[in-house]
Amino acid sequence: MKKSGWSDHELEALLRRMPKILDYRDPHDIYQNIYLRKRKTYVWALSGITAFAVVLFVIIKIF
Amino acid sequence: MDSVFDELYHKYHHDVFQFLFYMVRNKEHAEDLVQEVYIRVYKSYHRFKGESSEKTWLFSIARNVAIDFFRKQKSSKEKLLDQFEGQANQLKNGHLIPEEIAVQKDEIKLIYKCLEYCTLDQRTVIILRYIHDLSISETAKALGWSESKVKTTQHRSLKMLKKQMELFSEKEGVICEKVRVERSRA
Repeated sequence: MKKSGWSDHELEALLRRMPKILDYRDPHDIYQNIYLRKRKTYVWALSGITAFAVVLFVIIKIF
Repeated sequence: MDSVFDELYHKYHHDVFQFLFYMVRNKEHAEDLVQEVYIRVYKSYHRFKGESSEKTWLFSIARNVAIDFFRKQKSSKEKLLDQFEGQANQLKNGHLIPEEIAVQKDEIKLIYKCLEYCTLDQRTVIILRYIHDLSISETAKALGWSESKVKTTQHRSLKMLKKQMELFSEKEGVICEKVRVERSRA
C-alpha cells in the first residue's frame, strides 16, 4: 500500500472486489420480525381509531 | 411465510442487505433496515407496475429507508454536542468493521474506510455501480436520476475516494517512516 495514487481503473477494479456481506439470520426469524412489526402498526392504528370514536361519541352525547 | 416474502427473500434478500450494510456500515442496523424494506414493499407492492425491474425498484426503496435512517440519527444527534458525538462515533466505527472486511487486504480495508467520507449520494452510486455491478441506466432508474447525473456523481465519488485514500496512505506512510527512524536510532 505504499502507492501514492490510484487510477480510476484500478479503483474500479478494487471496488468490484469488495467482499460479499450476507445476512446469516434464518429467513423464518426475519419473517417473524416483519410480521410482528406489521401487527404492531396495525394495533396502533386500531387503538387510534377507537380512541377517536370514543371522543366523538362523548362529544355527541354532551351536545 | 407468504409467497411475496418467499420470492423476494430468495431473489434479492442478500443484495438488499449488502446494499444497506455498505450504506450504513453496521450489520445490526442493516438487519433492522432490511426488515423495514419488506414492510414498505408490502405497503406498495400493488403499486409496482413493472416499469422498472424489481431489483432497481427494491434498491430505490432500500435507499429511501437508509436516507430516513440517517435523518433520524441526525435529529437525535443534534441533541448532543457534535464534537463528542463525532469522537464517540469514530471509536464505534473503528470497532465495528465486520470480519468480512477485516480479513481483506489493506487496499480493500482502506477503500472501505474512505467510503465513509463520500456523501450519501456518492456512496450510493459507488455501491450500486461497482459493488452491485448495476449499469448506468439501471442506477439511474433506481435513484430516479438522469444518466448524466449518475455519471457526474460517479466521477466525483471516484475523485473523492482517491483523495481520501491518498491522504490516509500518506499518513500511514508518515507513521511507517517514523517507526523506521526510531528503530534505526535505537
